[in-house]
Amino acid sequence: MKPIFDPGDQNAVEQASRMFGAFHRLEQLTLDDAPPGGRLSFARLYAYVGEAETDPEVEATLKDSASLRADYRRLVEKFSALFIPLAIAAESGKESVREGVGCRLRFVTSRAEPSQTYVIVEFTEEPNALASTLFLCDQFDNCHKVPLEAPRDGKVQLLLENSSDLLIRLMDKNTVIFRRS
Amino acid sequence: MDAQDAKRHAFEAGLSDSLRAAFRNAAEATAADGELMFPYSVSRDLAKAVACRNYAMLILQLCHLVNIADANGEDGWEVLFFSGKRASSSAFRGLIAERLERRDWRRAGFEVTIEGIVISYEDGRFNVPFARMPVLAALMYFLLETVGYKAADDAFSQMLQKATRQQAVSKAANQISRQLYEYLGDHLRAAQEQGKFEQIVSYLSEVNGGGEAEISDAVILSFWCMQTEANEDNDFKQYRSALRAFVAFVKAIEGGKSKGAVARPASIGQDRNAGEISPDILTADMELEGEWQSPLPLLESEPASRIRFLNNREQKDVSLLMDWGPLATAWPLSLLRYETFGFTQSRLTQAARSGTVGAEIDKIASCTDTENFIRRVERIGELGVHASETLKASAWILHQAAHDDADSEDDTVIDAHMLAARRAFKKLNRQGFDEVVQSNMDLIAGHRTGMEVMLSVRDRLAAWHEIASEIDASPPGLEGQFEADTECFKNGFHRLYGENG
Amino acid sequence: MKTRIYIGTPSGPVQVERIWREEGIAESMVCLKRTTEKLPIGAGYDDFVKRPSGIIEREFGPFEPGAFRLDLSNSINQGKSWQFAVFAAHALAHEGLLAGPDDPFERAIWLTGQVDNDLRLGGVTQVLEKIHCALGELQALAKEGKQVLLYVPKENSQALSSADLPPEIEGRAVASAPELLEAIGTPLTRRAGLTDATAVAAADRSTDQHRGKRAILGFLFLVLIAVVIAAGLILPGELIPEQPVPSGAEAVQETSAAAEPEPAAEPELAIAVTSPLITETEAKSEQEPAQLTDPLPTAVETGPVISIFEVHPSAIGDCPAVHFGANSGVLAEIEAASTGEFTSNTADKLCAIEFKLAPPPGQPYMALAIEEISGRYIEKDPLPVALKGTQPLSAPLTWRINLLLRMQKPFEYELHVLSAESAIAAEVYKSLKAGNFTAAGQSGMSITTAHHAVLP
Repeated sequence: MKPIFDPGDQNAVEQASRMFGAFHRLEQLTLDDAPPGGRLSFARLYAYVGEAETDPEVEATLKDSASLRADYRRLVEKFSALFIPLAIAAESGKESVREGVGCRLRFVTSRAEPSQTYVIVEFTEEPNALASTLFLCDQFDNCHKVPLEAPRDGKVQLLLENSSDLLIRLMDKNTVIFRRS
Repeated sequence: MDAQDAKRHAFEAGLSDSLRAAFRNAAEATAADGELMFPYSVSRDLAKAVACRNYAMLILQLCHLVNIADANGEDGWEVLFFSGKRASSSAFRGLIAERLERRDWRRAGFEVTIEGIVISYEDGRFNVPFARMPVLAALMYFLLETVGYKAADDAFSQMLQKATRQQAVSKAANQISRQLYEYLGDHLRAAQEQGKFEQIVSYLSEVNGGGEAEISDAVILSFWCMQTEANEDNDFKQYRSALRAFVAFVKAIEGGKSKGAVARPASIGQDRNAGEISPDILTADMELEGEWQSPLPLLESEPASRIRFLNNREQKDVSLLMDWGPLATAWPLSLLRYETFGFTQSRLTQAARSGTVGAEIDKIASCTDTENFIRRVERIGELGVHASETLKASAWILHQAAHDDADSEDDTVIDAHMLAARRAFKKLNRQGFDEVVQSNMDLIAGHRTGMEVMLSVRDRLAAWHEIASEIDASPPGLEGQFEADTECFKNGFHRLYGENG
Repeated sequence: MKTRIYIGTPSGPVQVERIWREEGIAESMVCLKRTTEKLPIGAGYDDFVKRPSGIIEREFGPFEPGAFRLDLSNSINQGKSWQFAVFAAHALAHEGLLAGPDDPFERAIWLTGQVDNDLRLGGVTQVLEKIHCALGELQALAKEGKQVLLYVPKENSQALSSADLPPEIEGRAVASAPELLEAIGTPLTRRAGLTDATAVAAADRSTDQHRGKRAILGFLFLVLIAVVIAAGLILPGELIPEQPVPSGAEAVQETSAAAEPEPAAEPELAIAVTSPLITETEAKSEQEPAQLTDPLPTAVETGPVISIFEVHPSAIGDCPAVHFGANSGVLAEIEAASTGEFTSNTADKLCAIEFKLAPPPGQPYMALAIEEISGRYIEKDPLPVALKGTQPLSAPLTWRINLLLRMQKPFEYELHVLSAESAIAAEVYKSLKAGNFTAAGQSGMSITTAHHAVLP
């Protein structure tokens, strides 16, 4: 039987007008069609913290959303260990050091290629640490993920261009570094 | 489209795209095995709570569940919600028990009962049933998508510092409720919804010159065609949205009629302090006695959930028909149009968003690839047959369970119906339909519950199929109707998505 | 000569572009073309370099604290067949002879093979394939006039034979890394890699051995003199020279003095090289050569003439420029502090030491050996063939050694120069190099020794 609508029944119309919103919202929420743009789910973000590799799509989304970055940073802080806290600026000169929790970062300019710098991550208390992931977080909640191979003799050595974003972040006193095994 | 347009467009539905996306992320979250995390019924319950803004109690229960999760292990409350297992009562029960085997509760006051977890606070007791946990988990997912993880975690962290007091939990619940309320205030626009209602009323009033109007398939299609010619942007230009608005309209009308003339405040959702309608009433209104309720959620709950009566594809194919219930039989062509031309329009919308070239859009808009009505009706028919076969198979299982000499397979002893049932059982190769079932009491119970659901499904499908057959039997027939509809939709699509659209 | 080193791979030859000692870094690494891209064989290379598993630091060290950076022209991701080439590259780099991609060079060497802890070579796979992949490039180099050499382990000699090398490319199978280095003119002179303590101990041992050798020679000389006096050939008074004794006798006298516990007596016996030595040798010619049996050299009237020069940087240059041949430097002849004793100070910006050697009349064949007592030098150019005793010299010859840029301790050495009437037998030369000189089966020979200390 087809539904019937009587526009003259003011009471019914009035009742219906109040209820229409909720029913309509329900229909809209359960609509099949995907809304435009989509949105990175929190579940994906939660899983991403535990992944060693970077995902360009996730990184691009984080770049565009301050709220997602804040969520991501909170996840990093809760599920990884503090590695290098906010510290005094690295001293100028040929070599500089950032002290951390059971670790140290040393920066050594290459003599072979002065436009490159070695970063030596020393695990002072855990020389046999497993491969892990570093999260470099700045004051804008940008948390940059860096996979780190297992140390050899308690050290991991990176070689970076002086102009590289990663080196700049590592040396930046405003960068807090977390580590997740 | 510039940012301003985008914002306007985003709110045309009354619901922002962000809110829809957030809900979709929660509803379509997947478990580690690739299946949906939350049963359809759970997502539907969440949708109702959000639509009606009836979430305060749920949030309070959720905060207690976070307290349970935090006390249940050392890895943080998040682990209970992101374990990767599908959200069911038994999964939560199992997960909590598993963690208790590794170590006991981190603090006193928690007790596992058959039904759930009872928390004894310094200032009272609270019970969180296992059966409630799936919808609470869905709400958690939704909160994290809307209010955000940082804000929620701040509230939870503060709460957990005084985890022995119920007052602290209530405080956190209020805080989160406020945050969600504010979020929804930004993402739900009652004014747009009111406008849509008025638009439909106005249109229907014109259909019969102000008198009673029968809301038929033709009326809905005509409404949509009219919208495609209108200049202003609104989501009625999407056939599916227009149809769903009529579904909401009819449900609101039916609901309004049955509630009678009761003095009520002016509108909903504007300011709770101003003494507006309590959302709880609306939820009750949504579930009127005698009103059609889809039985499909029962298939997702225990004990029927252990049996694969319908696979994902079949579930999707029958869900709309089962959700609409009587409306599906009242509007058979609208349902067909929704599934066929509605799908084509989804493709067009996606193509337009992604900047697909005009020639490709024209091709889609020509509807040459649109599934025709006859094929769609055939699929409904096939589903009906499948429903019958599962009924027979379940019947065989129950029959075997009820008889002691289950090993006897002498054909002369089994009657014809049971013979057919046995054949159906042997043909069906699905979880819950194997030989082992006959000794498993839980599965037997599942079949009993599931049979009732599948009976309803079969009957609905059969009724609908009969109506479709009647349409086919009278001119112009389904094929003729499809051809006529193709012209209508093709023109509408070209108006909307063509070069001048 | 400047040499390019190529590693054989199935994808074509990979050049070792550069080896650089980086101060203060934790591990040696392999980079692609001077970029920051690390190659996966880096860990294996670090093991190859570092003690105790590695041989590079052991053979070519000690080095300043740090590690190596090796730059390759292309990727190598796995395996160990790069070891042979990298070992050779280190040996050449140690001498300043490794040519980078932009450096002028005279020779290209292609290698494949593993090197074990005892410097023996191990066979590798796909050798024939690697050679075929390299031939095009190697032939092009040969066409440009470069000497092109190809080395594989002995275990892979079959593959080498099957490779059917063109005539312009010389291929050889060798059994050990030292064998290769010998063949290409950069022999392993000593087992370096001593710690400071052991280096001192080694120097002490070397000094002790040196003194011991002198003691033996001195005793034999006394025996000889006793025999000669007994034979009435000479009178005791004639033993006391009016002028410095001839070189042969010098060496003998030097050692006889060394036999006494008092080292101060040594200088009186006119040992080391003074500058010039011509007067000494002329004086020596009046005396009869001492007839000595092994291990003593035959004393003759004349000996080779040795001049030693300090090499300083020019006004506009510095020592690295001198070391790499960009600047020839400024020479200053060293005057003896005392007879045969020379001292220098690197505070005067001393980059290198140059020797000028002139054969004595009648002894055109010369062989030279440097005996390191403490510290070390860097060989700038390989020892000329003419100073290995196989070719006669008709004119003076110069040869230069480089000093370390930053000397932490004195560099002290003795220069032994042997001259002979005929070609010097290989065994005799070998014994000179080994510091255990023997003139077995060879007559008409003189030996001259100079002692020089360069203070930091």
